[in-house]
Amino acid sequence: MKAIEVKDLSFAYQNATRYAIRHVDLDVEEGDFVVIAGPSGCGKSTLIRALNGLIPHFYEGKYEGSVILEGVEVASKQPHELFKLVGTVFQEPESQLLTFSVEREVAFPLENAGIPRDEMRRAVDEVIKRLNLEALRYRSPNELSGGEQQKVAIAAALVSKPKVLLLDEPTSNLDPVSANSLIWLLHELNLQGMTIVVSEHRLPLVVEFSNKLVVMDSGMIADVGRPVDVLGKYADKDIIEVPDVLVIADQLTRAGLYAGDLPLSVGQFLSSTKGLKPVI
Amino acid sequence: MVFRSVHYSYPLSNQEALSGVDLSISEGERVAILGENGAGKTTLLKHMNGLLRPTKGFVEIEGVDTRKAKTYEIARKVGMVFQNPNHQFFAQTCWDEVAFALRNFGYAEEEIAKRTEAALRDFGLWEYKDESPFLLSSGEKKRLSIASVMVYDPSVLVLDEPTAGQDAGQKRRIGEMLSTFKGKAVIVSTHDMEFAVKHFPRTIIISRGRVVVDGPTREVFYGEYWASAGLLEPQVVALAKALGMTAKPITAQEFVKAFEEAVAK
Amino acid sequence: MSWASGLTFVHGDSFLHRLNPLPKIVIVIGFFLAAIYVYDDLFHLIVLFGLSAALIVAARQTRRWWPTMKMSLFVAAVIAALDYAFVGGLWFSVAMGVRFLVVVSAFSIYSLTTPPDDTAAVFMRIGLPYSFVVAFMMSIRFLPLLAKEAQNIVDAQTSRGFNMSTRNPIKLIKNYIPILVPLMVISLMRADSAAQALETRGFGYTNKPSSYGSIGFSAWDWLVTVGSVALIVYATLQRVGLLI
Repeated sequence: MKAIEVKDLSFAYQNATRYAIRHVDLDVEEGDFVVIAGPSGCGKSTLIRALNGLIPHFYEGKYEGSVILEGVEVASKQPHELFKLVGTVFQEPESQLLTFSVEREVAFPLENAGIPRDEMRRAVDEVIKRLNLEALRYRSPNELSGGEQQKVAIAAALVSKPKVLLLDEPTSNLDPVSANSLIWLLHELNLQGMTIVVSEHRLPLVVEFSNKLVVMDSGMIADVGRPVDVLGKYADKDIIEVPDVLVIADQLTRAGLYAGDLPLSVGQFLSSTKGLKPVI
Repeated sequence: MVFRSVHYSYPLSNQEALSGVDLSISEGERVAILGENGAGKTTLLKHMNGLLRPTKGFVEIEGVDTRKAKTYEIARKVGMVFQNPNHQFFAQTCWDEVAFALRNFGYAEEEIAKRTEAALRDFGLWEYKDESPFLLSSGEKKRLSIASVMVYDPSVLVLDEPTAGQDAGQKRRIGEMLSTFKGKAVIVSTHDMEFAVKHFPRTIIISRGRVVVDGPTREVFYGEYWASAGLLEPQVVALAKALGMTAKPITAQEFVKAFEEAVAK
Repeated sequence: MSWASGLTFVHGDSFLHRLNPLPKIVIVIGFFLAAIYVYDDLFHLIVLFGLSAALIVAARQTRRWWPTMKMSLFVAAVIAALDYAFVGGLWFSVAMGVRFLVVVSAFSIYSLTTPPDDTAAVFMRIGLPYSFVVAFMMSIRFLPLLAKEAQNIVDAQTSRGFNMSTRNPIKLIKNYIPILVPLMVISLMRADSAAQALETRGFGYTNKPSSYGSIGFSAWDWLVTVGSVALIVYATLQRVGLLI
């Protein structure tokens, strides 16, 4: 079973003059690490909202096509019915933390599900341990840094044991080190089997861990494929942030000074054995 | 602009946000201030336009000690654009939004009309002059927030994280726009290193309320300050160092050129 | 926002911290009623205030209590001034001001020592609907955030030359627009984000949510509750004249 199947999805927000996303087809297999990129307004957030049910229930409008997540037709369920299948992390770290302590924040989804207390405590302990949040257990959200807040948001999204984790520009408000830390966490979760779908502007941080890059433009999917293949096409354009190492390798390849796979990170550039002609 | 031994602690806080900052910025200079969140960048910026005044030491703007001047007098000289345009939008129309600063500073009606029109046109927002600022796209909102400060022609422009959350095209446009502000000192606080490198010849790194390094961008980027300042080394720099390059490229273009030259030798 | 420090919970290990919220609610009600019963008796009001301060000291929260009291002093002075102007009587007016201080100080005893989640638990216990409790708690949770946003807005507008202070009362009200409009907009945006977070965390999944925390009711809790209720009953009866 595919983790997510999007078939010919189109959506226009209420009172909008045009469609936010049009004729989107996307398949996500279990264990994929999908990155959705594209200029502002391209429909990234709209697509994410369609995957967790906020569209069409929270955001009303014209909805065409279908989204099937872990075998369930998303449009037929309320978002709060889907939280055991898919967890969501939003862009603003602090707005999505609703309680007064990290512990309660992580427990909140289970309280909503009516899970008995003992089971709840075990699940909360497990997630806190998994994400290394023990030291922050009793702290309140406004005492935490942005990076810590996002980690707590991830913990709260994971406590209901979903198979899919969605993140909408999670590193927007974070500094580079925190952003990097967060992406590494996603990578670890992915290695443990979590299906990850993340929309991002800061591609250089994330593409080396991803196996599928989706580029959107004006509501439609412009490209889908392995990051290294897709990025190669955008190396000299201004539409998405292509990692510098790839831009460099791309230009050097054209000058005949680099042969081999295009790299997604500094490490990949250096270890590309067919790469550099002897130099310097 | 001069900072001399500036210390600052927020009320009810035991920790100093700024612990002895010294720096001076000359007319027309372009400076990028880098540092992790919590390092003191925003606190530093707020001392530049008089929102905050040092608890120890002093700040001088065009020779005037900020402790001896009113905030709006300093704001007249140092325009500050905040990270989130939603923190300032309140007017019914973009026109009123841009004219706000001029009205506050007491410009004559004629002057207000002239400057507001010029600012809206310069920033490509004339078509929205009668529309609500809240309905603009994120890129347009950013331009409007900059326009509403540039309209009164301050001699220094300070921007807090101008590229946060912006896409590649928007970042380029902002960078280009900042380059057109000749004769003004432009200071940005950012953690976008690629942006700093492309548009700012001088870089200051702040960590834990102190200036860690202050110098030409190229030298700073090739120094060993990253870990202590909680920043990540840019890919170009990491690659050049790993390959043992003698040249010090800071953009992809420079790297390719330096590489080709090295090979040619 | 430093004046709110006396109304925000902080971890601690004092006797008051370890009490169940219920006896503390009773204590606060006790103070409120006492302040009403002594009415304009300045001496007893000051005693009451001193008593509340003593409890704060016992809870070791004086440092956080003080900024709130400083702000309350200002409000108390306004109350006293208004009373003096419209009702008359110097000592009476001062007493009214002190009464306000007693109320704030008593409330602060509760807020400083009680985790909001425990308050939520008590609300649930007495049968208030879940959605109401969540809404109430979330508004308290977001208050410091909104205060920060308000400060950001003031900073942004001040940077464009905006000057709040003016003697003209009409202009003063108009002056709030550049602050209130962005604040409303941002608050609505935050509310929207919070609502989405609620949805995606399963709020509404079942009508019978469970509760993570459990707060016990120890012997001390019984003692303090019963003791406080007894005192309140005694004071009431005395005030009403049913006792000698």
